[in-house]
Amino acid sequence: MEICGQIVSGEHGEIFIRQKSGETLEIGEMLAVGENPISIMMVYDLTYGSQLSQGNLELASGMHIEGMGAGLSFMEENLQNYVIAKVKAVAYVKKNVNGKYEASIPKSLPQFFSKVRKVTSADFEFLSDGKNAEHSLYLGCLRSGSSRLKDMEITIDGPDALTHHILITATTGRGKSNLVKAMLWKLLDKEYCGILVLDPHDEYFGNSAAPGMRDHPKAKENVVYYSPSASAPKGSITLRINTKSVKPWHFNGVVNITDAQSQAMHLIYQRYRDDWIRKMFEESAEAASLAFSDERTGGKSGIEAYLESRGVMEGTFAALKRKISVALDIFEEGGKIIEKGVFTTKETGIGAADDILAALESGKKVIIDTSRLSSYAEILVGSIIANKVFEKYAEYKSAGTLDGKPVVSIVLEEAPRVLGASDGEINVFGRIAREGRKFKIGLIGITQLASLIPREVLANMNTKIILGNEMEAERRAIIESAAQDLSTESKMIASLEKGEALVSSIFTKFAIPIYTPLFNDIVKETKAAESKQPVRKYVGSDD
Amino acid sequence: MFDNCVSKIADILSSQSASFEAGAPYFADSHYKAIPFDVSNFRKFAPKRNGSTLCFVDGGNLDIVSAPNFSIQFLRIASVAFKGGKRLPLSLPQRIESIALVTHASDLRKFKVQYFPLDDGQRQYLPQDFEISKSSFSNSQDELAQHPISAAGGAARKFAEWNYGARIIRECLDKGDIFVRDGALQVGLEGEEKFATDAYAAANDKGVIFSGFAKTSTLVTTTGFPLTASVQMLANKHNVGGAWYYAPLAENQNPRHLGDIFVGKFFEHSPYAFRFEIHNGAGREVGAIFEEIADNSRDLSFPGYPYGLVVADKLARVEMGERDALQARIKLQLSRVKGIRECIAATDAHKIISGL
Repeated sequence: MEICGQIVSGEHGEIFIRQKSGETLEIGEMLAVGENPISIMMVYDLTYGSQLSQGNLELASGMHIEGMGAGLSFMEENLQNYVIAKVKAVAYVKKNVNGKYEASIPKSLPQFFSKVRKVTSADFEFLSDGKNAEHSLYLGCLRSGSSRLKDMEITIDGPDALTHHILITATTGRGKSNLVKAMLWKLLDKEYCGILVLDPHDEYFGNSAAPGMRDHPKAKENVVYYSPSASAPKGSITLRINTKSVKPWHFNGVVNITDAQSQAMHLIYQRYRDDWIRKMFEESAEAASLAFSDERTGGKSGIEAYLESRGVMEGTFAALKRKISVALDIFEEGGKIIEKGVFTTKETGIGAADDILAALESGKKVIIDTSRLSSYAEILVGSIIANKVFEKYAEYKSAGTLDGKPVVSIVLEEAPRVLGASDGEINVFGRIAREGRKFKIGLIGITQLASLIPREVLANMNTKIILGNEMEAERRAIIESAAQDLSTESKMIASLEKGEALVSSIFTKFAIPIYTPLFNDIVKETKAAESKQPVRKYVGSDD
Repeated sequence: MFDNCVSKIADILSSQSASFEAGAPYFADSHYKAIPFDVSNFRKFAPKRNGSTLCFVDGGNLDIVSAPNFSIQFLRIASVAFKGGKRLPLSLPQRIESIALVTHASDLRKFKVQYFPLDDGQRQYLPQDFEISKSSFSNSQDELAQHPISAAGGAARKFAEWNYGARIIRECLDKGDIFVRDGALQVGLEGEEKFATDAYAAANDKGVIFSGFAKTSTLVTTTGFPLTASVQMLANKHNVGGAWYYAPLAENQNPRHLGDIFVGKFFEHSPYAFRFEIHNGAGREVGAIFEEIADNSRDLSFPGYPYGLVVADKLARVEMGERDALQARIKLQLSRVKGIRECIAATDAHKIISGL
């Protein structure tokens, strides 16, 4: 047993350990006391300790730097000066009568003056005990400070974690995308969940320059990739969504629509149902006087006349149309309808949303390249699909058939865009955040700015994967809503390196420090393992 | 008002300082014949390791519970040895811990001191229980003079220091090694001489240098200045730089003080000079002893003061914080002694008042 320090004082939640000379303790490092039971502790702060008073130390320093200390040094420096680590006990692990390790939240202090050792993988056997591998959600390997216990893979229960939502927070460059890629990669051969990824950077599917989900041995069976790009890799599906799929409520929380505009929108929808958007643009384009254009309306379009008859001001319709036009990238120009985005009023893309829903329902991972879409369009696409899933799963629940369905989780980059505080109605993502778990639907929100997400929503995201973040306000927002008391971990979070994270979840006994390996390494590892088996190739691959 | 008082005091001290003259060493005791200062008596030296083992011993004691009829004291005697700049483990226990009980002897002119080591195995390192005249702790012949019973705890510690030191010399040190006790070599208590003699005999038998390092000194010069300060000022006046020692200061004929007195400065930039004594110093290579001690006095915690004594002091110190815990345990045990509360009450009223 390698001793690295000894408990010298403290209280519950703040234990002081004197570091052994020659050892280096790090913030975030896991330490252990005992063999059975084991107290597992985490270092959250480091300070200097000395047998000398501050005045003596300053005098000694003065003698050195003022040139009067020639020949002076600390005799037995290892005894006189040292490092004090502030730690808190995070888990109390004990072998039960069946020989299995069980962890509980520490309610007592480790033995005073106990010698402290560094942790080994064996100390964390309880993390894997009793877990269903088929339902696991991979997060990385256990980390102790900057050391990685590579043989201790950290997983949590996938269905639980996904339906109770996951928030991934970090500043730029700390490994958010890498973590999500790693999670998706490991989920690709799991059937318990369908994942919808709205990919604004087109980074998850992969291409010839960078590996992605398409490189997974199960990609052919389990990955569906939509892209609006003509140059998308082979095997991808062109993303076109017919406006028939777009409903007025899909705009909730996506486009800033006034009450009057919202009412107008619903009036149009009531009248034209699935064709409501096409009619808005067609009638204006043709300046036709259909249904309600007669001498009473003064030559206005049918919709305008209809709305006016219902008390909607002319300007309201004009503003509504402009907003919808911008959101859908559909314009009226010279009497023609110009469609620049993924939305179309023509007879294509009618079944896209249903196809995506079907794929998710069968446990597939659907990646939608939204890199060429406007922010509005991207969220609208997500909103349409999310609504579809929500409605369908609500039906299953009513019918009592939900249990047999896979969990559906939606990956949202820049989550505050859709989960942030809104003056208007709560959008579908907000609804999912609040009540999605009842319908087996969850969110994986990714953000740099957790503080922009309302507290209620943050509190509902029951697994937080916290990567490095120097912004104190952001750390505070996360810490205040974490599943465990992370009030002492702020400095640690600020000092996390790329790929290092802290997982705080209602499904873990304590906030677990993890390291997620580089995605490229995970791919290589999988391929190396795969090379021992018969070669398979994704038919749509272009390399 | 306060500032006026302090200002007058400062004026008086300032006028003394302005008229500073080193004068000559002054010893009131006729056993010492003072030798006037002579700048040629300064000897310079440099820190050096001569291969000797340096062993330091110190002790601490604290009155834990007391009443006019008894005093329960906690004693701790500690040693630490260095060789070549590294700590050298000794075969004897590094710390001896004992409770000492002081009571009135059947001869009421004496105190009775009994040792109760915390570890029975350490009894062998402690002196035999003894009785000591109360007059050892007061010069007054007055029948009603106070002879605080707790003062006898100091005697218990001093005797234990000598005794333990003698054991260390016999069992752990070799020829040329240096033994340093905290304090001067003068013995003052009744019965102390016997322990000192035994320790010196052990040192002589083994060829070990026996010395005493006094962190404070009350010796003065004929001008009323502290002796160590006067020697330092003399050194400054005559530009005696670096580390040095000064001797002789007196011809010592005191049979209860078998040591040659030196004043030494062990680090050039230290503001401190210390009284240092060597038993049978005349027959030694004194410079080599100072070199070796100076080498051990280069720790940044207190440059110019032996690090070994810093460590021994820390090991031996009985902290006030410890007293509270010990007091609680002892009082718990004593609670079954009939009348004990009344005995303690005879002297603890001031403590009660302080707490009000």
